[in-house]
Amino acid sequence: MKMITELPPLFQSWFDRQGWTPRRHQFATVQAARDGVSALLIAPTGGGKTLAGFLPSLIDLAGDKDPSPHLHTLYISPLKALSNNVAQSLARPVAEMGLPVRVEVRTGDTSASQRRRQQKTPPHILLTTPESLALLLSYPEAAAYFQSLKRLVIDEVHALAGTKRGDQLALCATRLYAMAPALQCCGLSATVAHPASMAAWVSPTGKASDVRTIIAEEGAAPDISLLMPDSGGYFPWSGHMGLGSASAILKAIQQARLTIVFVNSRAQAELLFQALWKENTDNLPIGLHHGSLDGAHRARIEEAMANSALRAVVATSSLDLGLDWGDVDKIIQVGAPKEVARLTQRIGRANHRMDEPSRALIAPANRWEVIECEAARDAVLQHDLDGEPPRAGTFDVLAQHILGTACAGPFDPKQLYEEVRRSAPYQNLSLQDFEDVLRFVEDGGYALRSYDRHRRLFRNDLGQIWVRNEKIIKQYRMNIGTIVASPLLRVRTRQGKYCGEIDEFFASTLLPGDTFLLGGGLFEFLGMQDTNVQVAAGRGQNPRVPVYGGNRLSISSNLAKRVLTILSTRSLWSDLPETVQNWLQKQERYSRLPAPEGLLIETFSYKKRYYLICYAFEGRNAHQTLGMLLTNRLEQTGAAPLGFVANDYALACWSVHPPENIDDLFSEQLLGDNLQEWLDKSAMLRRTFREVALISGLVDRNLPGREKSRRQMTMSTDLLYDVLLKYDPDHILLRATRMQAAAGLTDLNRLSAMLRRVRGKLDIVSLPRISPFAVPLLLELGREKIKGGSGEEALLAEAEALFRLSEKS
Amino acid sequence: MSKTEITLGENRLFLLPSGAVLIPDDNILVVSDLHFEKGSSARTHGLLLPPGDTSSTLEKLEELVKDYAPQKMIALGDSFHDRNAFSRLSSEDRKRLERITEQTDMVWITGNHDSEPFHDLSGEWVEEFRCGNLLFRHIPYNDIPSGYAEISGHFHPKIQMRIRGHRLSRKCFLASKDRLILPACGSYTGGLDINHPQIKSLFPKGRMCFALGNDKVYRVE
Repeated sequence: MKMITELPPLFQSWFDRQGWTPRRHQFATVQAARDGVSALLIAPTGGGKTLAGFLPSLIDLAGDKDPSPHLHTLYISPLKALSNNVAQSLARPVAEMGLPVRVEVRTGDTSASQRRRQQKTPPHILLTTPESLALLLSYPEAAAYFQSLKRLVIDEVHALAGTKRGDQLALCATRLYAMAPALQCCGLSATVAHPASMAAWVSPTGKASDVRTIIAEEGAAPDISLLMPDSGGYFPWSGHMGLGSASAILKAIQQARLTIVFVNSRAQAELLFQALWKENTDNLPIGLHHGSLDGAHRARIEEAMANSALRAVVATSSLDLGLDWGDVDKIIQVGAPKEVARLTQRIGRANHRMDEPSRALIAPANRWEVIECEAARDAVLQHDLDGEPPRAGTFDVLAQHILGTACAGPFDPKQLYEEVRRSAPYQNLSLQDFEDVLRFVEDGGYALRSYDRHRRLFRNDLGQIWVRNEKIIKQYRMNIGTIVASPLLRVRTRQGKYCGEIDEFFASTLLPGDTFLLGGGLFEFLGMQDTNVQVAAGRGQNPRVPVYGGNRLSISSNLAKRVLTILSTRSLWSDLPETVQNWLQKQERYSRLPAPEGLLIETFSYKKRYYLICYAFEGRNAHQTLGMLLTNRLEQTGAAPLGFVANDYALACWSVHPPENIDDLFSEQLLGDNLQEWLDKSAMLRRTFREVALISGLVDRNLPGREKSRRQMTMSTDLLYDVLLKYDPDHILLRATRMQAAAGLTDLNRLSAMLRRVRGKLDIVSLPRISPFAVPLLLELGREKIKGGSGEEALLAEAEALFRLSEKS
Repeated sequence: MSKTEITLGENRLFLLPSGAVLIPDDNILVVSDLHFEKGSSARTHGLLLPPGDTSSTLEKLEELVKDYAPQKMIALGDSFHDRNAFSRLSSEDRKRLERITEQTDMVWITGNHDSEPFHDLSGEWVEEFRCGNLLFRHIPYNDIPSGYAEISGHFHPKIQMRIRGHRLSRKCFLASKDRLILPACGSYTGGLDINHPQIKSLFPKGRMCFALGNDKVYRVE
């Protein structure tokens, strides 16, 4: 393949003035544009990736003689902040080379007047998000607006592909290709396990062969070590917060110019931030950055980082993506990194120059995580990237897209079917499924004949489809988007003093009298007052820590196997800290260690429930599935199960009565009876249905002129689910729900293979109390409750018995 | 199916797990807040909710009529979700409803959702119904005349509990010596926490709470 070796003179001399030499992959994107093909650039952080994506646009626009305002390049990133950041970094080359190029940002924060101006006088380069693009495309003027479009730059492809936001963007892109035939795409991605599926994902045809994949050279190997608590700290048996490592983390911060301390949850960010400041006697400037903080606070922190006014920032995934935050020279990951690819990207945040090694520390939060961190470090150094290829596109997003398309103007359903299939996620969409989704958007598509007025779409004599009225269009625009976040509720005292915000999900688990920590204070939950959480100053022990929904991570099964290898290979223990070795020995003494062949099962009672723990090391999805199967069997065998929780190594189920005949439980029968029925009833399916209902437009997020309380909505999707399941079990939304839930489970073939493998090798231990290994598992987030089964009946009967007892006394 | 017996104003009452009440000595069945056609009411707002809520509620009523063959059935108001709800009934659902009204004497109490009677439907439409010393209303009054007891709906009471660390939430009956509030019977009806001030203030001298189980009513408070 021929390849240019020099940029146009104007650009070449600008590079020279910076003291830069264009990199090979920067030439390659320019060459691809010249050859008229779309491209996928895979490069590590610090490789000048963003500039590579924009060079072809800037070169083209430098020679642009068209004086009338027209849109040339559309840039899409998953983060508003990233768009702002890119706008700033583009401003410099544009100004210094004197290019006649206008660059503007359009996000949810853009004012109405600015939007109108952008509509009338488009900039050459528009930077936006998938949601804002969907909104733009829902206007009848979209076809004229995007007609002149030459380039589509999609940043952070790896973070979008395989998600619902990605599905939405891929569908919007097919609209753009139809409106602007000359359009080329350039996707920018971090190093991923499946480059070919990423290429297909950015392809105008959905085929990888129509995209040129450009792989930049790897940066220097990172320098990663484990950070253990120092003498001032402690090393807990369980928990994921890593607070015991605060003093060690602070010392590491002192030794660097600017450190990002990455954590896995917002709750952890809050707690660790406080723990660090407790020890921070030198008053090092340390900031906090996570998604629940208000925008102004985050902007201040980002600015302080860019100005080197900070020494460290405690951050969640809110800082994961490719923003340029100045001279970060150290990364500390606190708590086990759950994905190798994610850890690699986080580590890449240190040192934006790819030829120098990034320096990173991993601080395990408990003894178990030491082993996990050790395994993850090896995996990063060996480039053993994990992650599944992107899954197929979901029906709820397609429903939203169909309605959005109708809002822009009448469409021909056959043409739209062909169009959506040009995106990789929907390439294999069957005509039947498309028609079912379309029917859902039109009139609900229910098997049961329903009251027929008020369809959303109607068809004319030519077979074209129109949206019924302006009200439907307005409603669509208010409901755009695929992120279904759990909303935050304000916490106030009875006197109305504002104390902070907690996740609605967490609030729904509180009962009056419960205490919880927030912003360093201890509060007692009094009750809900409209949408406010009412509290009083709290006292007492065992306060709870708010959990926020969203980012729960799952490690790959690769990593789980690595951990099992370390556990079962005594010669590898010597690399582990002494506390961890002691802990392993304790497990061996109290219970047993899991062996690579066979299956360790522990039973014990704890806080009046009977637990069954199964150490399968198959990864969270497989354990989640196993949890569904086991609770189904426990229900059938009369143990009255109440719930289960899975992590990557093990599964815990608990029930009102002790489980019996465990050998039988794990027989092939496990995969049999009424499984679909049991799944359909599960909390997991109901939760998934809620998301599908919101995204597909079955229910509103915010109805025009009437703010419905979120709590009501949660309930009503459950009620809708029950009725739909009863009268229309194969409805397209139920199929969508089952498909999506299946993505979080693992296929039964794999589980049945496991059951066959361990047959006759069950290692069942009955314990008088909880085992050392089970402690971290029982503290895991993401418990699945069994609702409406014999377990809850048993509890109600118990509540009644307790009441009678109290009445007698 | 088991029933839980309570006494209200010297009347014997059975609380049923379906959320209905049977007054065995008068052979009266009481249900509340059926909210027929709640699902289709959202269609005017462009929301195409699954139909079937009315059918599913009717199924419940048919079973009750079959099991108890009541002489009289009292619906405590909000039987229809809005003033056009009756005209939106599918012809099949309308027939089923008529069949029910043929088998028992219906008393429709008007509620805040159905304040105007639907005269096409057989049965008696009243704001309040009296039987002996029992008063049947949609919204409970603060003061009940002495010697009387009141049976009402409107609030859709729901209790949330934590037992052995497991949290659960159930529709429930609330009762005192002279007051009984029924849970909502409609398929698309949610609930209001029994500790909501509006509910609490109706029971200044304490209350009994009966949670609905799968086939049993449990006295939990």
